[in-house]
Amino acid sequence: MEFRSHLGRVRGLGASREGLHQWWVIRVSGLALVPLTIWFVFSAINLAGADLATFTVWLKTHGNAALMILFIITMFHHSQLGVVEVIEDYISSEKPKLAAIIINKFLFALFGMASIIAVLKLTLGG
Amino acid sequence: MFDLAQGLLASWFGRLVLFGMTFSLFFHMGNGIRHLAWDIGYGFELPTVRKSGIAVVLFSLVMTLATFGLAYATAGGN
Repeated sequence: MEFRSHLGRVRGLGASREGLHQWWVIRVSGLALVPLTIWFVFSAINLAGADLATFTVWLKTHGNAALMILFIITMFHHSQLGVVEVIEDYISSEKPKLAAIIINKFLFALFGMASIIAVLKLTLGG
Repeated sequence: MFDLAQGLLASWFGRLVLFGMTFSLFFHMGNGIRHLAWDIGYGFELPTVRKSGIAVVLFSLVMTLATFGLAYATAGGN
């Protein structure tokens, strides 16, 4: 027997207001990653075999550093949400599930931040 | 540090991993676009699902080979 009203059950679900927020963010970040990934792969092709000096010059030109940081943020956020999906699908007991999700988020935040700092160190230092 | 990473990626095992990751990336991208199409209501008919599935595999193969071909061309055998 369900005691919640139909409105109460449905409120927040649909059209990504609340209930589907995570689903919506995965789609939007995925959409943004299509052009960003094409740019990233194209850049990687052009930089194949380059040394650190060449790479740094490339990173400093035009909007490359900005695009790289945008790519890092979008990609790490999308990845992290993807792993959350897997955890939610395969770990059924609540406590290990919650622990796994939090560890996952912490790790992605750590590696994402390390990547951003690497870009900043190369572009801002001297 | 940079040279260590370059060296690892230049080894045969590094190249193998890179090839697999490139294929996975394009495969994920292709299937992601397929899912976005499904989300807005296109391509749900079973024959279309089958065709788009095959298309994604072909797309991933072509893009991966093109990426490696172009990368080896720019790096000049490096």
